[in-house]
Amino acid sequence: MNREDFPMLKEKYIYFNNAATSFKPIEVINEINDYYTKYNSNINRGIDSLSYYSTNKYEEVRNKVANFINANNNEIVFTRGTTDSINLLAYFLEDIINENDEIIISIIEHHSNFVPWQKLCKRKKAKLIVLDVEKNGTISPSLLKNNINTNTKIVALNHVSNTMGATNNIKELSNIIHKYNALFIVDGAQAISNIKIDVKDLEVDFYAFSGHKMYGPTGIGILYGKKQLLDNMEPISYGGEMIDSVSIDNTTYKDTPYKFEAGTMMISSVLGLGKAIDYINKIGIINMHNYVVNLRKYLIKQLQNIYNINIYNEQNEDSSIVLFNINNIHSHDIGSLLDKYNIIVRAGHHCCEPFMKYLKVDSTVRISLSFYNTKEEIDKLIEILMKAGDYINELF
Amino acid sequence: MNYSNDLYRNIILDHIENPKNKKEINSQEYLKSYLKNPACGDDVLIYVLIDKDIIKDVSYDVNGCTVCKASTSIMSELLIGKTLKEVDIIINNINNMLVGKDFDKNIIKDAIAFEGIKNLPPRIKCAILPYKAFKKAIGDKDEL
Ligand SMILES: Cc1ncc(COP(=O)(O)O)c(C=O)c1O
Repeated sequence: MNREDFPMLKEKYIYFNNAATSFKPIEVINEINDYYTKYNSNINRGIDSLSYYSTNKYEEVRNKVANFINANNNEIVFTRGTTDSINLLAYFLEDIINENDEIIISIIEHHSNFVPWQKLCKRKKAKLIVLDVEKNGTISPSLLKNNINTNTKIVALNHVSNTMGATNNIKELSNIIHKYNALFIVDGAQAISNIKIDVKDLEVDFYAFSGHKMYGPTGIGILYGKKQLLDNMEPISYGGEMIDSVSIDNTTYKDTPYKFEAGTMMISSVLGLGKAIDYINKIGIINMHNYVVNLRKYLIKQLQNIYNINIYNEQNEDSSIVLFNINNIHSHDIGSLLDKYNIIVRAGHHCCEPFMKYLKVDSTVRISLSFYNTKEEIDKLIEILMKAGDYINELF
Repeated sequence: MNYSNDLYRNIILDHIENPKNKKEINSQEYLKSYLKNPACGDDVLIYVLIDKDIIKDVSYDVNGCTVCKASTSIMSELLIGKTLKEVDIIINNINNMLVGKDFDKNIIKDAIAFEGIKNLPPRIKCAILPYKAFKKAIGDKDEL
């Protein structure tokens, strides 16, 4: 679908690493270019018309993001990405964690939703509870029920896993978590480009995602937080544009979300994200999703012809991800073989070392599809994978 | 496939199927170092026994891809019995080969099988990992 919108698709590559970062449509690239060539200026500063214009454009994007996930404008904080959003939270929320409190995560979390909580627990002598996952990679609500208690202050889980591609039942998990008055933080990095997100309906407290995985630029991410929760949190970065007034002895901050955006922000990336959201809305996230689900069916069927293949997540039909190994061949060797033919996949631990240990492998090959991939590209992939047994000849 | 491909393939397969000098080390006399490639997860544990300035023994435990495994086995063969000075020359020649610079074929023996790595730049780090670990074990701080 719509391949002509993506300049990278004119290059020689077949790109199956969309879960790492997606290609960008020309609208996004042009928007960034326009900012630097037509109205380059800083936002929120002074009274000149250039700055006025870019400030408006910047705030318009906050609006678009809010509409995109059904939040309010003042609940959207611009960050560097999912990782940044979660790390910020782990500091913002430090005050509510005391010795012997508990934080629940799962074994399948990306390192960026694992390490910040592990470190917070160490700082505060709190307890980190790491839930196992079901065979398909989801977190079982009943297992959560068995582990949550009145000491649980935070539960941080993925919406869609970047390895297994499984989608968690966020609403059901949320119900359990809120019965215990704990905060529910959701890593939406992989969900945001695949399913329609409605943070009100999901009843989450915080939701984090990255622009670059949803056809937008790098360097921009979102932290959604319920207004009242954001209001109660102390910023950790101080400087220009986040202050209300400064005297020698004291400083007051602007309101949420501005108090969390200190200094000159990544204005061009914010603007690019706005166009990425327009683009997704134009194609329709449901259309993108349905296309990918169909393409994945084809991919699975073709992969099953590969000798000695072991697919770990065949059952997750709703996902854009296929995770596999070919017996006796290291994932990097598969990755290099495909790379030789300009086919880009991800080989390695996918920033999920705890989960790789759980699967009892040290690495896997991951194919992640987007709506611009085609059956022809999959045919080419299969043709090369058929040679996998000969990889040593091919590579050396 | 050409002649050298076939040769290289056989060298690599041999080191994968029959890793050389790999054995359990319990002796305290060995220098040890562990290195991991955080980007991909390859890891090596290298044991080195030195007497004066001669490498008496090299052993290892390695998890990872074909390149890393074969490279480690080849390294052990190359370095055992050499003086520290000779080791330096060997490692420099291998490094040069991997990054596409001039090198002396006669010095690097089986490591020639990795001549093609210069065309697979993302894999240089896999081939070089055991050499980095070796240098760390002997306290050589020069960067590779
Ligand atoms: C599930 C998940 N969480 C978090 C991240 C981190 O995203 P970023 O690197 O954009 O901060 C990723 C990206 O790979 C991811 O897949």
